[in-house]
Amino acid sequence: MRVRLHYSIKIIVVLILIMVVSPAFANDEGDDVSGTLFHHVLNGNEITLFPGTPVIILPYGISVHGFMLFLSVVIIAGLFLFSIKKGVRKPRGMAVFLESIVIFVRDDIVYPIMGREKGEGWLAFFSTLFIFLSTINLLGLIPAFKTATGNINVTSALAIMVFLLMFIIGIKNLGLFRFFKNLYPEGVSPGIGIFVTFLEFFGLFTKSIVLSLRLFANMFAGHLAILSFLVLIFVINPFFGFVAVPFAVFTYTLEVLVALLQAFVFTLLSCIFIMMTSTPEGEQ
Amino acid sequence: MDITLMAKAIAVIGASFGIAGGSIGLGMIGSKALDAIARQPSEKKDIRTNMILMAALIEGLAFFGAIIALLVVFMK
Repeated sequence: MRVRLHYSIKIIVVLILIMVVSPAFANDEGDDVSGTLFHHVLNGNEITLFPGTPVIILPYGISVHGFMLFLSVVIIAGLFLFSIKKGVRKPRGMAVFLESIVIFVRDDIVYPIMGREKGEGWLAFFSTLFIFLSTINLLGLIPAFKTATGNINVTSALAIMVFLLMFIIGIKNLGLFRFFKNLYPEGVSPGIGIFVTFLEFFGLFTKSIVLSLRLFANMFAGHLAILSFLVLIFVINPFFGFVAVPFAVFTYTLEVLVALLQAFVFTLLSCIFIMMTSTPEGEQ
Repeated sequence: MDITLMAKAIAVIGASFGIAGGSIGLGMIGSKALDAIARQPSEKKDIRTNMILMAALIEGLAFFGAIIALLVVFMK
């Protein structure tokens, strides 16, 4: 009991310290709430590492989101190149962690949906997708960085990739005629069948659009929710920080979960969509 | 009354409806999944994965409403 009290007092002291210090970092943006909110979420070309320190302005042509994409690629490539060595029977350290991620993608996403023979070739694509998305989502949670997946252009590019794969792999596996015949349901009257075929065809587009919108909306809205709580301190009064800071911390921890969950969901859904269009009706 | 203010108020009301729908869906998913786990504790892992998937799908829909409302309220 003593120990628990001790830690709770520590947490409260830290929270009070944050509250006392936070007005010192407030600058004259306070009046323009919407500007402040969106400045932290939308794309730009400047990085502020700490309040008060000089702003790093990126060279022309590179935005912060683009920089985050490059950074994530460098991180992933570095991790894999330096930790995984060929010909080692017992991996150690970081290699175990990276292998466990790939095995998670294999056993929980690709193999249950695609099956063993077919999924083996696809594993590289989906594990890359999962690792890339989770890296970039988690990078966005570091203060002073921005989430590249909170930009609809990034998520749209990923969804267009999945959309094209749906068509290309479907037509390659089934042939053009059977690909469209696959959309037609069996055992219904022709009127309903043609209607359903239309729906299924437009469904190919809406699936991809919703795939991109879901990831974008989750990352964008999550970060806005944290900021909205914190902005309320300046809008209502400084003592609102007693409520706002714990709520913001709670939302932040939730965001860590959401970042991994959305990477998982994006990978799982793209796997399901590609599988759906590339196998005949009866064999799913 | 200012017409933009009106539009913003309507956007907020619409977002709240969207979130209400989403929360009904999430509640149903949670209750059904708990029922299923109580009946078949051995299938816990599969049920949990599917529950999270469904929850993420519905959460996405609720977020669309929230996003659109936020854009209407804050964008100039």
